Amino acid sequence: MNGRRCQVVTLIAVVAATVPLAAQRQTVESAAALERWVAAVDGHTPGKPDASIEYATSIAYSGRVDLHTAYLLFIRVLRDETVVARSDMDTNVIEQARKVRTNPGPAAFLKRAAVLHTDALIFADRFPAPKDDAPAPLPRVVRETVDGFTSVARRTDAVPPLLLNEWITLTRDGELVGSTKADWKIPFARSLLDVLLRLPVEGSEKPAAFVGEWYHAVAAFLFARGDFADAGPHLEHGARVLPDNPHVLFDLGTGAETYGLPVYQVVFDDPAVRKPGMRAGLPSENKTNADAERAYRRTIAVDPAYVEAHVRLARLLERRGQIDEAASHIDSALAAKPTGVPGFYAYLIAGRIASTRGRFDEALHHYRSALGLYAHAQSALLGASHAALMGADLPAALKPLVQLARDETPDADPWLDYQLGAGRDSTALLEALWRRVARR
Amino acid sequence: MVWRLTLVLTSVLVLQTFSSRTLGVRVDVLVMDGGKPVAGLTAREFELRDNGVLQRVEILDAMDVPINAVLTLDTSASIEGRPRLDLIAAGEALLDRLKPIDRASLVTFDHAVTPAIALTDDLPAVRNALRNINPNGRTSVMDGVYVALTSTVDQPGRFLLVVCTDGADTMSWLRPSEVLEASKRANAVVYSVTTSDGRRSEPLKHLADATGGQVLQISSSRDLRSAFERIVAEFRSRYVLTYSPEGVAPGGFHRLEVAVPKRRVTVKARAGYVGVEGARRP
Repeated sequence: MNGRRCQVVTLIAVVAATVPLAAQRQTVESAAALERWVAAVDGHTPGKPDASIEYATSIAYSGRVDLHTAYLLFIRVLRDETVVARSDMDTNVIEQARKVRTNPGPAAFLKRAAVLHTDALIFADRFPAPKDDAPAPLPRVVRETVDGFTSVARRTDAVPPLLLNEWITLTRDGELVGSTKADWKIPFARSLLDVLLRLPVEGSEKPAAFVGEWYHAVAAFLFARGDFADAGPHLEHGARVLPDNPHVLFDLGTGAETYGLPVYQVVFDDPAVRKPGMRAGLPSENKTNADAERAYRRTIAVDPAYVEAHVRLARLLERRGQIDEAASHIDSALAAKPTGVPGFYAYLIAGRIASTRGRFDEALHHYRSALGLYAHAQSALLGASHAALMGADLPAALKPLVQLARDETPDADPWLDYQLGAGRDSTALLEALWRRVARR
Repeated sequence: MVWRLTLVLTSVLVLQTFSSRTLGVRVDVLVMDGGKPVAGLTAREFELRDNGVLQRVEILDAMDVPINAVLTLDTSASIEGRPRLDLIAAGEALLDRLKPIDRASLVTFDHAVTPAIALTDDLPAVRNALRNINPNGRTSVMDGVYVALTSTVDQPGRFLLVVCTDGADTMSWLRPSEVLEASKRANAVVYSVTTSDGRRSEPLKHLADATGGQVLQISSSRDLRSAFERIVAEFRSRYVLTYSPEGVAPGGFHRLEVAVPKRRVTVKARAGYVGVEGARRP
């Protein structure tokens, strides 16, 4: 986590560019691409950077076009739709799909395939990136946002995930530093799980449980590496397909809330954003905070005991001047006696709310409770110092700063990551996912 | 050396001892005429109102009062390379202009605030720490300024707080409004040097207005040295007014108005201070 704060770039926003759909006629190349893909899915050990991952990370755009052509027919067979072979290559593809239907079966295959491409993103750095042989992006569709900045149409679901060819913006500490290609692996995995959700349920396990776990684990992974450009569509799509999953709703709120933080909002002030043709793709603080508030309220409606949602909603409401309701939510959260990082954050927000109300003794009490959990956290030390200073208690104001001066672990503040949506153990969530697939 | 904040307070907030004789409020005042400091004014030429009540002021001989320079420097990853070298050179130029009675301290900030060197007359130690700054991480300007400001509240002397940042505040826990409130309880003139403009430098502008300082906008790190030199020169040309408040309640916020009525000059001083009634002492 600390390394992420120091890394050169984080990702935000999407610059859309679409490509025309490829022709649907099967070719020797498309059938071969499908065969390789099916073999990779079958051979992959979840959570391991094996030969299947090496293959999955090596697929260039042209390879994805071939795979896409065969994949459309393959999926129809997997869904048990009636298809008619019009060529030998069609027959080849249909035969491959029928084998998969028989063993391991559509549901198991789709889960494994989704995990293969998720792992491909996770382990991508271990393998050489394929040559970018994608065509030049189409001219951007420019529109004006409500904030007055030039923007472009965002990616649409009309673009098949295998054919995604988009740019995303890179920022570092609030400055634009360049752009790179958006990830296609997670969108492709999402589309596979969309198919899974529409399959007839077999056995006792509902596909939605696995899909919900997958969305939550991937969101944690994307947050942990500061990849908000790819997280945005992921979270929005997740909330569409699983509208009652509290983790998915909570993650959607967290993503939106993070965009409202200074580290992203200051990008608006970068002169480069105002240049003609440049887009922000970044919502204003008001809009993204409203989105986050809505998502947290939905989370709480689904699961009233979701402590983190109460805490984060309280932070937003305080920020938006709704202090009494903020206090009510933070009281609900503290009543549950949260521990660990969520507990720390709850005390931190409680301190801020008390401070905003001018209750500096109460604020100091909350900040000290936070320090009881993480004694070296700079945020709580400064909060405690400030509350004491405002309460005219000079010795108490100086004491936390003495601690800060002595502190040789200045990064030991969970708030630094947690406020950015990260801070939860994405590895543990992914490992649970891998175990689920491995059992099949 | 590691910063140690003393808990043995010799004075409280704005009420301090000066030259071992006067207990009162001290106000650093800059008088400018056409961009140049005006020298030679007498106490009678100043009008100082504390919460609207005219006060009788004295001018302290600034030579008697040591300058405490608090260097508050952005060491986030973006200063890597040339900006780092320019920042070190600027800091050293500032230290070069301090006198033997003066002291200095160093606070650095990226996303973490490091009180690197406590207030000391061992300027080579400050210089050494300056040369070892290591760019890293994100930017917590307000948190850094708060730590620097708070380090002044229990110390006598004149405090010149020089904040230098090349970017926007992205990671502070404390909000600009909270740090602004803290500045009213501290005793420092805040000068900021920044390459940022517009909204990004607004919190620094508000701090400068509240403390009687200034924001110097520069276009590149090459201008840092001259900016730091100018700040010290300007600070030395300030008048140090003192008075014992009369006709006003001691507690709460005291709005200050300083003027030189008979001259067509620009006067810059802190906007006010928070009185100390009810303050808890060690």
